[in-house]
Amino acid sequence: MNTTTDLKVVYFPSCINRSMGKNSFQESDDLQLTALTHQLLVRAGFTIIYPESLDTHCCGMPFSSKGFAEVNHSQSETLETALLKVSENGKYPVLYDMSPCFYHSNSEFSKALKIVDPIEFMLDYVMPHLTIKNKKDTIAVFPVCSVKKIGKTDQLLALSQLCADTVTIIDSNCCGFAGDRGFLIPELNEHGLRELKQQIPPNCKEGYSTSRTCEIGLEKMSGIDFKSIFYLIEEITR
Amino acid sequence: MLPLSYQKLKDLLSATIDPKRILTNPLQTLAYGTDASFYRLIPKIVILAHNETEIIEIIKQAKSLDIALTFRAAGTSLSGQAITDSVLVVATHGWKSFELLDNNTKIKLEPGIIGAKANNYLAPHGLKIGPDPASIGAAMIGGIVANNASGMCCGTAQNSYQTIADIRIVLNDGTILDTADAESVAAFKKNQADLIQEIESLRDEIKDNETLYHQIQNKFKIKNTTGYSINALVDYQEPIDIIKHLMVGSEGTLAFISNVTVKTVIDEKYKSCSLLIFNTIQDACNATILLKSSPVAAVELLDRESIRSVENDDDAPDYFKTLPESACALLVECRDNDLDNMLLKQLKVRSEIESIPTFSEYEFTSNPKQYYFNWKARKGLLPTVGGLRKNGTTVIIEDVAFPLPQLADACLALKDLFKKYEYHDAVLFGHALEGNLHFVFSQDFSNQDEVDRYEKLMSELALLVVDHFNGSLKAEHGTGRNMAPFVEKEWGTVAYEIMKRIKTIFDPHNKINPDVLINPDPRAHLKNLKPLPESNAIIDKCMECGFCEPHCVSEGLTLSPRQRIVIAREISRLESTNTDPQRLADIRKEVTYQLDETCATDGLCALACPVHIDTGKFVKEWRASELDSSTKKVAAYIGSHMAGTTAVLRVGLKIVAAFHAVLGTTIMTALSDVSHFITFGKIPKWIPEMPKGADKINTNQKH
Repeated sequence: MNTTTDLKVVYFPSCINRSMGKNSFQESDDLQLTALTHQLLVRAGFTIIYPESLDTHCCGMPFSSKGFAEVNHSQSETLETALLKVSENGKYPVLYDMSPCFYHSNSEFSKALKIVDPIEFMLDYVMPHLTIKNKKDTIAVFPVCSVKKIGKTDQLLALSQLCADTVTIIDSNCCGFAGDRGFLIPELNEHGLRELKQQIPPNCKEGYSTSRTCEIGLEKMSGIDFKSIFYLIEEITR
Repeated sequence: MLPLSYQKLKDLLSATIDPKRILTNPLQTLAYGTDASFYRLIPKIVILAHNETEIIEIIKQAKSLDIALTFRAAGTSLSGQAITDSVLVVATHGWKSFELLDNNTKIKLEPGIIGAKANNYLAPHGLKIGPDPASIGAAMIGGIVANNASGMCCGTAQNSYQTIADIRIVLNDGTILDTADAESVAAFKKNQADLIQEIESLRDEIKDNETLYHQIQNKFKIKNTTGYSINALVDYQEPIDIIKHLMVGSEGTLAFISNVTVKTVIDEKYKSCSLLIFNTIQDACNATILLKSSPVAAVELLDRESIRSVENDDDAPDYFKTLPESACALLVECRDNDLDNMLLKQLKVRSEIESIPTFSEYEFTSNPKQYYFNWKARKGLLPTVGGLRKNGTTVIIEDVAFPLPQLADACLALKDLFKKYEYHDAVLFGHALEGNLHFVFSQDFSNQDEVDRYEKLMSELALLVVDHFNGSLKAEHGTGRNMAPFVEKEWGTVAYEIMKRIKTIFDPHNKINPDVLINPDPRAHLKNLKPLPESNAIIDKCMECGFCEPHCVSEGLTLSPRQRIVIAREISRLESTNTDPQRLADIRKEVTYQLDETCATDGLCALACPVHIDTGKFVKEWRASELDSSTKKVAAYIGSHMAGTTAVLRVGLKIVAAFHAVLGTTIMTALSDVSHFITFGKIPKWIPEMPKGADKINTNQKH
């Protein structure tokens, strides 16, 4: 944990969040996620450092998912090297803004890097430095597969409960969006989320998760605003 | 090509059932035709039925064409009771409704509800269903009831037979009996007078035969799923009550179960357990006898080999490795809704078995980590053997029960049996309190010598269990095809004749799950053995248990992880034997969409898998092997030009969003549908929720 005098973090915005913008519910003056994360970290007192040549980096997962094992490994190694350098060999934690990317790097990396998933980072690093000002009434939260695989559903619930009085955790398997699969095989996403709508309470208009691509399908299948939980935290601590 | 009558059935049913749910292609019939047993039959037709109206139509049309039907839910049963080479009717999707009744004392459940889900519905009320099979996370109500499945804690007191309140069934002519509905019961009694009369005469015959009457009473004092639940004819007087209870454990051979109402049982709030190590199996079994009358929720036995198989676990105590060869463990569980009462129960257990020395001191624990380890040690036994077995072999779990006083002798006799037939990896464990022992071993079925060895083991097992100890050959896994040849051996001719008559009463033409439970072939247990060829190192340890299926997003759309593995194995078998190029080609035609494209590769299947197989990882390898070199070059190019790619994606998305703003949602969806189709799905399909492009990050910004 950083001391208050040296609150530095390496922020690695995923390639998805670097290229995909806001959802259809968001206003034109809303910040896109990478900018919002920056603002939130600043509010919590962090100094932010970005990896060099950020635009060239990707955790490798999109390649791995499609069977391009070699490209995956080379992308992952390049990222690991860059993160080692920018974090001064693991001196500073590295924030991932998407759970799947964290999961992928966590299983690919071999060096002593302190990479942190979005839920743990918010719960343990950010929230202690912020004041909750306007808690929400009711929200829905979707634990994406990589959250379940690292066993962080309970932490996601705890984080959400700091932010809202009523939290509905969506009970589901993989949503079926699976990166770009939701674009290519939309019926998988429709099948995966066929019970989503009925789980969302009628007065609940906001959903949150930790994976941008999953959120596209969640928005489509629920008809409500689904976005990163970072937006929620930013809003209630504003 | 389907045989004529099957083609006719398919055509007839297509008028009322969505043809997409009537499956006949070789990939799907194999995938759905596979269950957790080590038997293999491939159905000619698989029907994914969604409601009772469809079931009645299927039953009537099949009857008119003299075609046999097998009903199935999750396909997690182990004895070969859920497979067929005729028509398989799967009742999972569409069969998920439930209703809490009578102030939560009862719950009405449809057959496609997973056992653990039923417990989720009851948990807020501190309640659960009685049966607790180890497969409860995947097994569904239809199968749990039809097999009278039980488990660690339910014993013979809270199984489906004891907790069933009502049942709704469809008979072989389409007649419905709903025992919860007085009108249905009255109509049934009126219209099926012959059937009622035959049940009554069976009941009266048994009552008049004192030997048989006592035999039935005695045999059901311990767990027994060999043959039908003929205790129904002893325990109940009313024919409707008898029918209701005969359906429990009937393995789908008498009727289709549309729903069941079961009595709920208390799920105690406080739970604790202790792992007691004894110096010998005899000590452990003697302690079990004493514990029978003490307030325990479960007593599980683990033999020395079982302990050895978990001794390398991170949480295992060090002394596991140095235990004497004769040692034996009991996992004892105490539960109560009141904490003080639970502690009192622990004291009672202690004093009850005071006279028997334990190898070391023991403490009860409610500490989640220790509690979880103790149970993990017990529950991990099957997967441990399964995970260590040689590729190409299957893992077999036997399921016998003995009267409690004979348990120690029976354990030793079983261990001698493993030695005699050289099953060196066999581990012995089980629900000691109920005299129910499981032994797990790996078995090769790929050559005749090995099949012969298994045959000898089974024959001698039957002698040992039946003649020496008067036990049950199947305690809780059902008779299936595996024990059907031994039902008469266990029960004797008189009782077996009663069972055959039960089958004839409900299914006179032998068309409802034939060859299961009642089978005249003395070698039925050695036929139709499932091949498990090596295919890929990631999936070779799969036991096809089906525990992954509820955790898979594509299950029900295309394939589940288990089904993907089944298909991969069949492709490997066909490729290596070159026996049926046409079949291989037919399967290959469907495989890209079914196995590859619709897998989300999320890996949640691995969390539920007893041997931790990540089928998603396998599918990624599959994708890699399907790629041609030019595609790989494109990927490598994208990889080395990531900066450009995210830029293109950013701009691309912005252009799409601009079009959207101009053209509106409907027209955009239509346009992208076309391009999606003509590019064979390779261009992302545009959906209204597709995000706009992001702005480039300014990494130089300072706060």
